[in-house]
Amino acid sequence: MSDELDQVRRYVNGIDPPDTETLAAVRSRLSGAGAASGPRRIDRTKRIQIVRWAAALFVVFAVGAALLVPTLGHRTPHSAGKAHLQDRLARLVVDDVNVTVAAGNYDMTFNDTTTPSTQCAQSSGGPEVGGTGQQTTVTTAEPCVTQNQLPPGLSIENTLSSISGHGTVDTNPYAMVTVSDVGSLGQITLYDDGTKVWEIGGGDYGLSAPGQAGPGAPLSGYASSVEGTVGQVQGALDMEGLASGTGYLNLQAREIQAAQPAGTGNVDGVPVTIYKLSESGLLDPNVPGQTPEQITTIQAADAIIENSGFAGKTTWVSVDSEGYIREQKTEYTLPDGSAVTEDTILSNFGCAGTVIMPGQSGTSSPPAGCVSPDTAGSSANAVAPSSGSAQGSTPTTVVPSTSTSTSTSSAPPPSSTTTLPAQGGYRGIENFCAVAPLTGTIHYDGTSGDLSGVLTVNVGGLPPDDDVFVNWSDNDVRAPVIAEFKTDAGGKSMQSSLEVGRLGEVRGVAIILTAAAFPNPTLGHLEPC
Amino acid sequence: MSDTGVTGTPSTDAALIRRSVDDPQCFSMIVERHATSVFRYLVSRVGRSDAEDLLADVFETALGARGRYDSRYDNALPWLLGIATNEIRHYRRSEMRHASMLRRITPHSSRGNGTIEAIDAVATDAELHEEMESVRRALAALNDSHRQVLVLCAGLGLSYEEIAQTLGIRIGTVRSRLSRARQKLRELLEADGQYRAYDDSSRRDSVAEEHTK
Repeated sequence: MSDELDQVRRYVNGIDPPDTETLAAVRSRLSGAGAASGPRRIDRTKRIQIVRWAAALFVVFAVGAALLVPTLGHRTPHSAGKAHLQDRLARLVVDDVNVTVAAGNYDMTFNDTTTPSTQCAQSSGGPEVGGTGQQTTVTTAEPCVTQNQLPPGLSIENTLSSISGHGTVDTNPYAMVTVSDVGSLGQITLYDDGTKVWEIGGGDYGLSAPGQAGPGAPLSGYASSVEGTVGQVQGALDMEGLASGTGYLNLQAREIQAAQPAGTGNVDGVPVTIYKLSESGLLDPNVPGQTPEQITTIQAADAIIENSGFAGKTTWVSVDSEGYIREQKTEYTLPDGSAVTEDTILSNFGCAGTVIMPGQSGTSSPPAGCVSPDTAGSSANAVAPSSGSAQGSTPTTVVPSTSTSTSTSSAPPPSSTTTLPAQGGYRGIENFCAVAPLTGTIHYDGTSGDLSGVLTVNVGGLPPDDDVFVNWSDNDVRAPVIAEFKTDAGGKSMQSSLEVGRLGEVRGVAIILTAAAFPNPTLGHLEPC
Repeated sequence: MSDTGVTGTPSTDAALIRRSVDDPQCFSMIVERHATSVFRYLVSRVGRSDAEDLLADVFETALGARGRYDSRYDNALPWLLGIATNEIRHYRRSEMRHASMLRRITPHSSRGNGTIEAIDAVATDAELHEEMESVRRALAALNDSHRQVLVLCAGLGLSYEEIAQTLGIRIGTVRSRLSRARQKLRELLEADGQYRAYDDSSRRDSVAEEHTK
C-alpha cells in the first residue's frame, strides 16, 4: 500500500541510472570543456559610474538582432509542432521583431523606472562578479540606503527612481548610441558595437581619458561596473542585452514561447496591437556567430541570473500595422523585492540614419528619399544628441545628427511600405462559404477592432474531436493562422471553443482550415460568399 | 569546520566546486555524486533517449558556471537540477523534436482540451511495472509545473527549500503547488484504477513532512 508520493518516488527511483556510455560521454564533454574553463578573472578595478540606463538598453537590444536569426522569422506557418494558438502568436511576435530589425535602424526613447524594495535587499551571496567596493556601488544596489550614506553628488532620487534617454540603433552591422540623463551625474553617452563599449561621461569607460578619444573597452569588462552599480541581478540582466548584439534577440525569440493578445492601443498616435509575453530572462551563449567576448559576458550573466532566484519577466510589445514594434515594456521583480519597469518607444524605422561610432567617419544621414513609416507626426521622439553634447571636444565621438527632419509624417509612405499588406487588422466585414467537402460558413467582423466576436464559425465536414486552425490565407507578411477552434463528435466547429489570436491583415481571399496537429494537413477551405 | 573528509576529498559539494575552479578535474566528483539524480529528473521530464543527450549538456553548463556557485549551499543538487530545468526549456525550443515527441507519446484524442503543454514527454520504459506505468501516465497527464514539483519532492527527495531554489520560486509556492499536484495526481491514479486509498493518513503526512526538512 502506498500513497501517490510513494508511487512517484518508486517510479523515479525505478528509472535506470545512466549507462556507462552516457556517463562516458559526460566525462568526455567535461574533459574538453575543462581545458578551456580555468578560473575566471574578473576586473574589479572599475570606477564609480551610474549605468542605470543600461537597463533601458536591455529592452532596446531585445529588438536589435533578430536579423541574425532568420530561421525563426522565416519558418513557414505549418512547420509548428506545438499546436497551440499561443505558440502561433508567439511566432507572430517573432515575425514582428524581424520586421522591425529588417528596417535597418530606428530611433528610440527609453525610460527605466525602479521601485525599490520596502525591505533592505539581501545579499545574493553568490557569484562575486562586479562590485567595485566603492560606495556608489553599494548604495545603488541596496534600496535601503539612507541619503547620508551616499557619496557627494548622488541622491537617492536619481539612483533609484528613473533614468530616461534616447538614441539610435543600427541593426546591420550592429551599432548603437544612446544619451541618458542620469541625474546628478549629468548626461552619459554610450556607444556599443556589440563587442566594445565607449562611455562618455560617467566613468569614461573605453576612453583614454575623460574627454579624450579611446579605443573602446571590452564588453565583458564592463559587467563588473554595471553589476556593481545597479545590483548584481539587475546588472546581469542589463549585460545580457549589452552582450547580445549578434544573437541576443535570437535567444529572446526562443524565449518567446507563449504570447497572449493584450488588446489594442496607440503609441504616439499610431494604432497598435499589444501582445503579452513571458520570458525567462536567460540567454543562450551558444548561438552561432557570437564573439568570445559576447559568449563570456552572457555566460557570466546567465550564471548570476540562474543562481539568483530571478523568476522571469513579463513583456508587452505593441505592434503597428506594418509589423514594426512601436513600444516594448518589460516589468520584472528582482530577488531583493525591487521592481523594474523598462519602457522603450521606437520610431523612424529605416530612416534613423547611420550611427557613427567613435573613430569612424562618414555621414549619418538616412538614404536619400527615405520617408519614415511614422504616420502620426509625433512619433519621432528619438532625437540623437548633437555632436559633442556629452564629450566636449572629443572629435572622434561624433554622434550622428538627428534624422528627425527626414521623418516627415506628411510625406507619402515609401513604396516599400505600400507594397506590404497592412498588419494592424482588417476592420471590415466578410463572409466565407465552405467549399466541399466542407460545409457551412465563417463570418468575419473586424469593425470593432476587438478580438472577441470577430469570427463566427459554423463549419461541418471536419474531423471529429479535433483542433483546427483558421488560416487567413493572404496574411502574407505574418503567419496566416488567426484562430483556433475545436470540433465536436460530429465534426462540426464549436463556436464556444474558438480562440482568436489576431485580426486578418487585409481583406481575405480565402480561409484555409488545417489540423492543429503537426504537420497541419489541410482540411479544406472557404471562399468569400 | 573542515570542508574535507578523511581522504582529503572535499566533503561538501560546495567545497568540491570551489576547488574545481582551480582544478577542473575535481568537478568529475560532482558528476559522480549527482549524475543519477539529474538523469532521473531528465528522464522524468523528456524521456530516456533525450535525457541521455541532455545529461552532458547539464554538467557542461554547470562546469562553465562553477565559478559562480553560491557556496552557502553545501548540496549542489538543486543547482544542477535548476540548470537541468533550463536545459529542458531550451531543448523544448526545438519544435520539431517536441512535435515528434508529442506524436510518439500522446494519442491524438487526449489532446482534445487544447492544453498540449500539459501533456508532456515522460519516460516510456517498457519494462516498467504496470503500476509504474500507471504513475507514468498520470504524471504525463499533469501539467509541467505539477510534474516538476512531484518529481523533485517525491522522486528525488528534495526539501521544499531546495525545490524553491531549483525552480526559482517561493517556498510557499512550492507547498501550494505540491498540494495541488498531489491532489491532481491522486485523482488521476484513482481514475486509472491504480490508486488505493491510504488508510493511514498520518503516514501520508509524514511523507510530506520529511521533505520539508
